[in-house]
Amino acid sequence: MIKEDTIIKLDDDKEYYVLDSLMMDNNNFIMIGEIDSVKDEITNNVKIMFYDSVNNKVRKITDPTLLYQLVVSFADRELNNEE
Amino acid sequence: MANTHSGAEEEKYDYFSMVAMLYEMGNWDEETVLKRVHSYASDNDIDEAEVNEFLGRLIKKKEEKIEHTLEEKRKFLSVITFKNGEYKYGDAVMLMNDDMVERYYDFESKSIGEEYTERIFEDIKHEKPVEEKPVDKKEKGSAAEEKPVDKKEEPKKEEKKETSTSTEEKSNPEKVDGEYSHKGGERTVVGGNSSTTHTRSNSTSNSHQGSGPKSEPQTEADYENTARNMGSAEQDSDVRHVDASPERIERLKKGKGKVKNFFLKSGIIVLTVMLTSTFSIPLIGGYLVLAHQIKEGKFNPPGAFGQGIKKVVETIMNIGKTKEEVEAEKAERGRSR
Repeated sequence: MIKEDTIIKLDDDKEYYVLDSLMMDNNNFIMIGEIDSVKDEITNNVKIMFYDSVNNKVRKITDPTLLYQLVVSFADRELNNEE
Repeated sequence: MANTHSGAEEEKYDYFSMVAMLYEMGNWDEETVLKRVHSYASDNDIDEAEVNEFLGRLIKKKEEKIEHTLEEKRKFLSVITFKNGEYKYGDAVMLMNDDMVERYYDFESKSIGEEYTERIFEDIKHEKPVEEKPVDKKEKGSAAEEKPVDKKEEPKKEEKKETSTSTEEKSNPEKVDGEYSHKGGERTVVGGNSSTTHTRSNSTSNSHQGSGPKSEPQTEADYENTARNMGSAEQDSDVRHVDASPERIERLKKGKGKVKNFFLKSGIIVLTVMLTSTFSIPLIGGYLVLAHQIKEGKFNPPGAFGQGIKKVVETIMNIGKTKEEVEAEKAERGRSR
């Protein structure tokens, strides 16, 4: 799985910071934020992706129901982490 | 108080509260409010005198609003920085130009509600002025080295291929884009028939692509763009791991909380209105109205779905707060009711 608080680079040649990483039903979902190459800080261009570990590829999640489920899961984790 | 109302009374109370909130936030103009409230009253057999009293009170209240000076607005934003964990703008507040102060103030004062705003203005009188500090300059980490993600770390899962396909099947970019263009429409009221024009600035509509979390205020357009970007389709991409210095990771990590919080709110707002027609409310207003209603103890839907929405919004609201703070707020809400 891709770990939280690491940096990855995708085919668009941009760097992304891994904001969160979640295992759900044996699938790895990551929340990544694009890094502004000039300012070197995380922008609000955030995506939730599915990580296909077999092919070492990521696929963006666009299905609204799944996205909603993941957003809620990430929010729950965030709250638990704060606690 | 809401608990003492009958079902119909409570619904009416909720509806009027929501209308008041949308009007005060600037999402609905006077014409829209009149149209919507009269239509609602007609559908629900609500006495015209009662409606007129509500509308009169609402409009009078807004007309009498005090206009604060630019300096007061700047101080207001500074105070919020220290008072509310959700609004960690840090030193950026003092470095904002006048235009940013106006926009930020407009957005934040509406989002936190009039009563709280007034309380902050009272506090400002006793608040120590915030000293200007230089913004932490970026310093890029050492030369990054790329390498594929280490697969050894991952558990072996033969079923992944199958799962991957199922995820692909679930994802339907065309459908999603269609939903957004339909639901987003004119960026006014989602699912509604209002022709309201938002007054907030759109000048930062693309800021999410390039600006960092501290340097720009988030506008409604930011929320919508972030959410739109969230659901837009992309091709699969290879993953390369970037080796970064611990210092760089640490520095990037500092902006992480704000970005995540913002993204999760955007997700709740957009996905809620996409997945249900229950809440015919504007995007940013969706979260804010619900959050405000919950804070006031006025949002208590009877159904499981509504309660689910409530729980999610509460979760988002509580990000950044300690368990004790959350409990204290709940107790406070209980007392006020």
